[in-house]
Parts: sequence; structure tokens; C-alpha cells
Amino acid sequence: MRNLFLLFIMISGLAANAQYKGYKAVADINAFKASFTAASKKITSIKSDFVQEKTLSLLSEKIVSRGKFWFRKENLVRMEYQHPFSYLMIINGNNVYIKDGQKENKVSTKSNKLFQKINRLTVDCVQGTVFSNPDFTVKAFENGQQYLVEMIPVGKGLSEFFSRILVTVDRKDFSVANINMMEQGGDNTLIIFQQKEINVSIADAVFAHK
Amino acid sequence: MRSLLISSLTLLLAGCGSAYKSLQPSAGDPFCIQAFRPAFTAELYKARVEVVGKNLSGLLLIKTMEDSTRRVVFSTETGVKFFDFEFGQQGVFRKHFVMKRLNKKMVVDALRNDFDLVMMNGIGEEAGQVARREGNWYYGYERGKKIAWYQTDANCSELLHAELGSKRKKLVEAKLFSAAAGPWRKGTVLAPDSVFIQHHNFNFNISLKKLDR
Repeated sequence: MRNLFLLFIMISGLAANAQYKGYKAVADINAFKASFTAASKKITSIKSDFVQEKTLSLLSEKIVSRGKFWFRKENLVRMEYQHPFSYLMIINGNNVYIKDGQKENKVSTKSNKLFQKINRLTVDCVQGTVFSNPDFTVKAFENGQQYLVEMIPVGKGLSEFFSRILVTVDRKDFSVANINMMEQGGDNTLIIFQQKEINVSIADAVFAHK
Repeated sequence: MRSLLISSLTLLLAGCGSAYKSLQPSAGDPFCIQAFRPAFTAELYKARVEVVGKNLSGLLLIKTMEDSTRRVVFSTETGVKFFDFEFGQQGVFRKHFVMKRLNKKMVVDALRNDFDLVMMNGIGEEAGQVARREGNWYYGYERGKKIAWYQTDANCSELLHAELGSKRKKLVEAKLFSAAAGPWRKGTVLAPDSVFIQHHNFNFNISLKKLDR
């Protein structure tokens, strides 16, 4: 009887670990993938503000930064941190351009596998192609307003930095509401997208660099 | 030709001379440096690191915990963590996290020494050596086989710089500045506004600028 009780507790614990508060597992994952992919195909551009909150759990410390975000299909991303520091990152295909104060740096992701994975992750998150990313096992959960996509890294490279990544997607337009990158030690980085404008015209100059 | 050889040898020998040979032991106040200890609460710095010709940038947090230990956490602007170190009392040091690529003894020791030097960790209140050179005072604290030297002006009112040296060579130099790149004056019970760390034995420099959060 006691063993049965222990087994029940263990099974309940496992079930609880697989869920997120306020969400239930998506019943028909294939239907969700199809809708997600179809809806994402309709998103050609995103313009948004963002707030990034890095929480250092053991230090009870939160580092908050803010900026602007632009995305245009297929793989153009501009992320511009404006407060409390200036930092610009432009992803243009396989090239990443970084401007930090007066210092400028160009990196080709072809020469760096980890950078390549992070590059793909960024584009996949905003473009809705996370399910086809081979670097993660992906599950989906839902409530009335949002979907929660859980991405667990399978390879060595990304798992050094993230234990899992949670992407919250708005049900109404399948656009990304926030990305939460969780680390092994309990710290996390949450990027919240605000004032989103979907499918607005974004000039080439936004993604251009010297 | 002969004189060229002699002058070259002279220069070479001068180069091999000790950086600290000309220090004159003097009877100054061995407690002078206590008034220059920076006080960190939870400061966030924009950090720029130059290492063997490559540039890295990120955010560096220095936080004093309730138990008086200090945590130094360095991450990229986008939130990816490079390292998380703990500096305790009496020189206690603990690695909470180091990115695999950086987790090499030489790198970790260099970073530990740099932050110990800037935060004035692991040094007693009384300097083991007090010396003068060209009107300035040098206060030396033994740190294993090395010595952490803190140099002040003649009145012990301004910290000119800190350096970590072997018996013969200057290895690392650190400068602390208050707001608007002002000198680090006696009794500044604040965290520095900016910090510059320069290694003399290899190309590795760190600059920190405090951010208004």
C-alpha cells in the first residue's frame, strides 16, 4: 500500500513537471504545428519594442534593458539595445554585424557552429519555424490566449547555456509575445516584445551596415 | 659597431632590471590604503575586453551579498553568461559558472587576480611594505608569490593606480576613476565610475564603465 502511494506521488510529480501553470498540453500537436507554420508563413515582418530581463536568481538581481526589434523575412533581424546601454546587432543571412559604441565587428556564422545555432534559434523563434529546428526537442502547451512552446536543447553546444527555452505565442496572430531562456543554475533571460506591428513595411536600410 | 653592441646590451640589461628596484623603503602610514577601498552594492558596468587582438563586450555586475561576499557576473548584452565568480573574506574564491571556452586555469586566475586587485580583496589592513619613488608612495601587500602594490600621491589623498607585480616585473595595472573620470580620492565610499585593467605580460585589457540602471 505504501509503495503504491509512493508510486502515485512519483507519477504525480512527473506529470506536474511536464506542465506549466495555467497551460495544458496541446492535444493535437500535428494540427498545432500545421496552424503555427501556416500562420507564421503569413508573417513577413515584425517591428517591435522589447524589454529584456535577466534574472540572477541566487543574487536576487534583475538586469533590465530595453530597445527596438525589427524582423523581415527570410532572415533579417535588427536588435537595437537603447537603455541602459547602446548595442546594435544585425543578422543578415549568415552574417552578424555588431556595433558596440565605436567598435564594429562582423562575424560569419559559417565559421562558428555555436553562433550558427544561436542565429538560427533567433530567426526560428520569430519566424515560427521552431518545430523544424534539429537542435531542440519541442513540445507545445496552450491556454485561452496563448501557446507555450517548450524547446529543450539536444546537443552539447546550446545546452551549456540553456536548459530550455520557452517561447510564448499569441493565439490571435501566432506572433511571439516573449522568449524565456532558462539556464541550468536557475537564472533566466526573458525578452518581452511590446507594441508589435506585424507585416509593416521595413526599409532595407534598417538591416544595412557598413 | 662596438658602441652599438654595447648600447644594445645596456638597453637589454636595463630592460631586465626590476621594476621595483628603485623603490625606497620608507616609514609611511601602512594603513593609508584603507581609505581607498571601493564600496560596491550592486553596480552594473558595460564591459569591454580586448584579448590577443579580439574584442568582447558585455555587462558586468558586481554585487555585495548579505554575508559580505561579492559576486562578479559577466554576461553578453543578450544575456548569455560568461562567468559568475564569488569573492569571499580572506581571499576565498569560488567559481559558480564559467563558460567552457573560458574555463582554463590561466584565464580564471588572471580574472580572479584582476578583480581581487580592483576590489582590494584578500589584503590585510596594514601594508607589509611601504616605499617611496619620485614623490609618490607605494603600499605593498603580499599575495602568494606576488605583491599587490597601491600607489598614492605624496599626501595619501589620491590613489594613482594599483598594480600586481612579481618580484621583478609589473604584471597588471588597474586604475579606478570616480564620476567624470575624476581621480580616486581618499574616503570615496562609492563604487568606481570606471575601471581600466591592463596586463603587461600578455595582450589582455578590460575597461568598465558604470551604467545608470
